[in-house]
Amino acid sequence: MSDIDPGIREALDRFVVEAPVLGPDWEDVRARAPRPHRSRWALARRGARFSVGLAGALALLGLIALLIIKGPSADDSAPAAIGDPGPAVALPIVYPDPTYAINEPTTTLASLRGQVVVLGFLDDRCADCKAAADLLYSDPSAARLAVATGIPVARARAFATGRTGPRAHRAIATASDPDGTIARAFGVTTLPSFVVVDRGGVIVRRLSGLPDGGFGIYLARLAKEPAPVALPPSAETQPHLAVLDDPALALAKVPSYLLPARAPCPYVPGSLRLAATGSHGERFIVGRALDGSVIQAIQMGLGRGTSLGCGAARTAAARDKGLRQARSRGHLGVTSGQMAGRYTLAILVLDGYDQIEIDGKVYPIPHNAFVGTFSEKPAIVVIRGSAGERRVSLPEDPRRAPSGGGG
Amino acid sequence: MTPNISASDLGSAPDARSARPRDGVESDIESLYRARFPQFIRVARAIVGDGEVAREVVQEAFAKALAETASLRQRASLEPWIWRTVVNSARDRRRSDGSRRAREAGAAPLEGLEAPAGPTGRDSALFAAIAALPERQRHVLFLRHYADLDYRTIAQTLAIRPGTVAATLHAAQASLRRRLEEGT
Repeated sequence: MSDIDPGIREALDRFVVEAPVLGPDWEDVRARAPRPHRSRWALARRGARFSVGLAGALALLGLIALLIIKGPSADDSAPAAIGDPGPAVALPIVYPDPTYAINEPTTTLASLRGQVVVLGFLDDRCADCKAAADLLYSDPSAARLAVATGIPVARARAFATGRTGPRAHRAIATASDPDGTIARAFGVTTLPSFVVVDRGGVIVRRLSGLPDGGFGIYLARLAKEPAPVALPPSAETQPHLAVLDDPALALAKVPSYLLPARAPCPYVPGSLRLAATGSHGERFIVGRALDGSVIQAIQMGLGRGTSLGCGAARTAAARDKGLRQARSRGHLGVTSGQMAGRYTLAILVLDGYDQIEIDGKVYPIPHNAFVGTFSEKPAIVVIRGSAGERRVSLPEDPRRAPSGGGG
Repeated sequence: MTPNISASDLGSAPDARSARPRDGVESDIESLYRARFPQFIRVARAIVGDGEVAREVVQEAFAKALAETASLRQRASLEPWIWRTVVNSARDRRRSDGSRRAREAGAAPLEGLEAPAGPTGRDSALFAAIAALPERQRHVLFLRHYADLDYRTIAQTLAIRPGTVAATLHAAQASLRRRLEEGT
């Protein structure tokens, strides 16, 4: 291209470092394409196919019904999104970092659980990637792992030790991903990209290109969050009751808890991570951390056949609204469902209840408590107190579910 | 590939479109996508400044082409049509992202915030110099350098005369060179 000066060419090459990780995925394009306009002739022909179309529509309805009953299931081939557990893909380490226990030749996210992990998807060619490597190096608040994407193992190793890196690029733990398998599993399509995984192994942030200054702050804050509490061991066959709060729920002293947008459920010390399926009347369960610093609202029943989700009350107003709603429903919030093959129940008891009975066994519960249970088998749960008696069956039949508030 | 005629008769089959006998335009669109994907990405990336958005822009342009095969069949040249769609929607994305960034820039900085890890030194001068070019000059430069398009295709893409392409390219380089020299 002789009509562009070498100096300008060099500048433009620095301006855009093109590094699409994934090849052209034509099926993505087809999926985006709206249906082509039908001609009048095609419409007339469509009438003749009405019966076939009707059968198809019925089949589709059946499928939708099945999906609603089954709930969304994770597609193994779909790249992991925010809020999903990090994919269980092997991370072949070509340069270890003992500080973060990234030692094994093949590491997985599961083996790094308990610490915040930042994965930087990079290669050894682009200016942005080198800057990204420097950024990874300079932020010690999380376990840093460069994933050398789309380059051979030898170059990944050289990149890790800085031989082909820029001036400030020093060694960080590096995994080799020559054919982009890891990048695909994480849904990364361009370099550089970052994926942040929290202590519980859940993807909490993804970004492409160089992050801005808020990223370091975000990581530092994430690293300070407490580790999640492990689920009760699966061998346990008895209902497990965990009282997650103390009686003195000093609401006025609980500050609001600010979260980045789209963050998944935060981990609260002493709380259990709960998920429920089925359409429930309850909208909120409000809990409180043992240290009194955080109040958490778990929101259920988002108007779809299956509901999942939780989030912290981000503002005092949201927190108070959750509490008001729970109170207006008879001072008792209940939701139940299934998680990891076990039946779960989460109860907010504000006033008027002091006992919980699970399969005939009675446990005392304090007022103003947040209670979670796990049960290996279906169970009947009864909550009693001066406010009366509430019965909840696990699993609760969503079609016959009472509005969970009992009010 | 043997087209599956019976499947295409069942209008409700989810893959009916992929099983339909492919017409020439559709396979031309797919071939162009496969052959020129990196160039499309580079140009879109140059305009919007983000790889992820660039990918979206390119895929949406091709998806749009798929939806308009009927009108594209009448046209002589498919490629300039897609280039124009890519350039225009990349430009629109850049503008909307720019106004969003401008709004967010007013927010108070967080305590202890680190300096943004943006381009530094020589690169920041380069980014500023390219950003300062008039839009048409930028687009001509990008299409010529990143996609190696000939003047005729560039002219069709940007709806300008071929003679204007050469002049614009010349002016863009002169302006960029001057700004870079001033910047260093």
